[in-house]
Amino acid sequence: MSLYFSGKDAYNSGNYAAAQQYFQEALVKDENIEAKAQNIKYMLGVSAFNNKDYKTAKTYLVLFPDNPIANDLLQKIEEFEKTLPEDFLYHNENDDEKVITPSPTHSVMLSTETAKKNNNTKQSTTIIIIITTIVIMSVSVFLEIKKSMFSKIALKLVGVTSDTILIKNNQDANNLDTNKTKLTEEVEETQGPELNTMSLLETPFDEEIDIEKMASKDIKEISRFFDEVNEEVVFVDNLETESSEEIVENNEENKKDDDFESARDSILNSILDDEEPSELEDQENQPENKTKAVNEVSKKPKYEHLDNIPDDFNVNSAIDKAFKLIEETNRLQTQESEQKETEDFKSIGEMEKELEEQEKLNLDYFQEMEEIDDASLKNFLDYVFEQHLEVGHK
Amino acid sequence: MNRITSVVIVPLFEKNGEINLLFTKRNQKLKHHAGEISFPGGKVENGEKFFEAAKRETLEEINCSVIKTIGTLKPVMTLVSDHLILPYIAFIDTRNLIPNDVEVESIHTITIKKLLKTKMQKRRFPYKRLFITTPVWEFDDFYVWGATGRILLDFKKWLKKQGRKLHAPDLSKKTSS
Repeated sequence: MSLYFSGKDAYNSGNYAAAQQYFQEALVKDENIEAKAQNIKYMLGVSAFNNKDYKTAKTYLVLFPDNPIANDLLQKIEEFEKTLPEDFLYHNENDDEKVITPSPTHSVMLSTETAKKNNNTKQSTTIIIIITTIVIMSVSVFLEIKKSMFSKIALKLVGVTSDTILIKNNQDANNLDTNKTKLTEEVEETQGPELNTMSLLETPFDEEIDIEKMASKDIKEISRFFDEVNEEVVFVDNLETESSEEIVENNEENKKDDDFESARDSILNSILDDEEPSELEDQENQPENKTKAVNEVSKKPKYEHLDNIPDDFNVNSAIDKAFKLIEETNRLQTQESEQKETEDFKSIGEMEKELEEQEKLNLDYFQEMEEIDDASLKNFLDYVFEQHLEVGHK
Repeated sequence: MNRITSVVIVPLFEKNGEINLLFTKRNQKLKHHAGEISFPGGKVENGEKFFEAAKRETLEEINCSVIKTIGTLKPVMTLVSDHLILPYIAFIDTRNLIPNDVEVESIHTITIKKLLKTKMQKRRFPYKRLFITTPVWEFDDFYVWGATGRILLDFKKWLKKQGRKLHAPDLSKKTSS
């Protein structure tokens, strides 16, 4: 009976190996032990189960079909039987050591050794797990860095190609074959939508647009255009002044406009240029008019403190001509204002203003097409053009 | 961002005693302004003179030689394709007119009389998945807008300023200038 109690103590303390040994010895030595302790076989089955001696566990736990714990353990044993090989499942470690009959103390020592072994295996597995996680993490980080570097290099390469395309289009176009230019144009086309997304990254595309540079380039082109126009454009010399169906309605007014410009130019020339002095010189050269010319010169006021005004400057005639000029300008201004009222079409600027007022333009579309930069540039160039034309007229 | 300099010809020719204006409808497969109405012209190559480029492009696109240039118009910007367009007004020889299928889908013409009678009006029409409201020249079978529309408006002003009847040069004395 002492064996039973020792086994029970071991069982309660969780030392199932010792418990199994005690219970098995008690059953062998005392035939009536089962009558005294009804649950000895149950505890032996549970201890055997915990010691992974499933064969023994099964033989004893079967005896308690009404015990839910026993049934549960039996069910687990059945599952093990399905998954694990029979040799492994029913290999009793004690079978190899059957020669040695283990004493309780010996079994306790064995259990401590197994516990130590378990601890060692646990430590080794945790170390292995940590090492593997570190390795995996380092590999993933390395791959990420490599990937980002590759993408940056790829973007840089793309940036370089786009720049070269633009250079090719503008500078080296003559040196390229037609096939090559077509190819570059295609590339440029395909890169169109990508450029916007790439500009968000650190690429050559996030450079700011230099509007002044663009405008200066345009102005150079435009001035070159006009320089070449002077050489190349030949206005039709057989334009007739006959009226016909195609003659424009404002013919007379336009003529007046032309007359005004010519009159203005001649007046300004007469005031500022050396036209009159030359005439005077001619007159002076003639002996008959010499005295008359001298008298006229003597009448002219002298502005000795102003170096830029010639001595023979005729102020009276200049004033007369200036008044004529003012009158002519006022007359033409009124004509222009009347003409504007009766004009049957509107300029694009006026129409755009109307559109903005009446119904809002689809600005999204224009924003997508860089309307803001172009519009400001267009206005600037329009202004430059007007200046250029004015200079040209003068 | 580099603006591309282009030149166009506002091409005039005589037909049945009337001066006509020619337009080209660009091919749908082209990179820029596909399917739009435009004037013959294109990009100025590096080192090339503007007028030479205009003559070359006109010959390439519609196989017409430029007979005489009679004027120029104010340069125009395109809002979409970043082009600076320099327009020439010129008479062309249409006797050998053959549109280049690669670049030109079809040819459209109007008389000067028709142009003078037509007004530019605002229209709302679909363009590439969007609706845009913009001034448009609406002719019988086509409409003109954008940079070409602005060039046409300038050309109409130019015509009014001339105040004279245009006469096509004699084709028998064809001299390209």
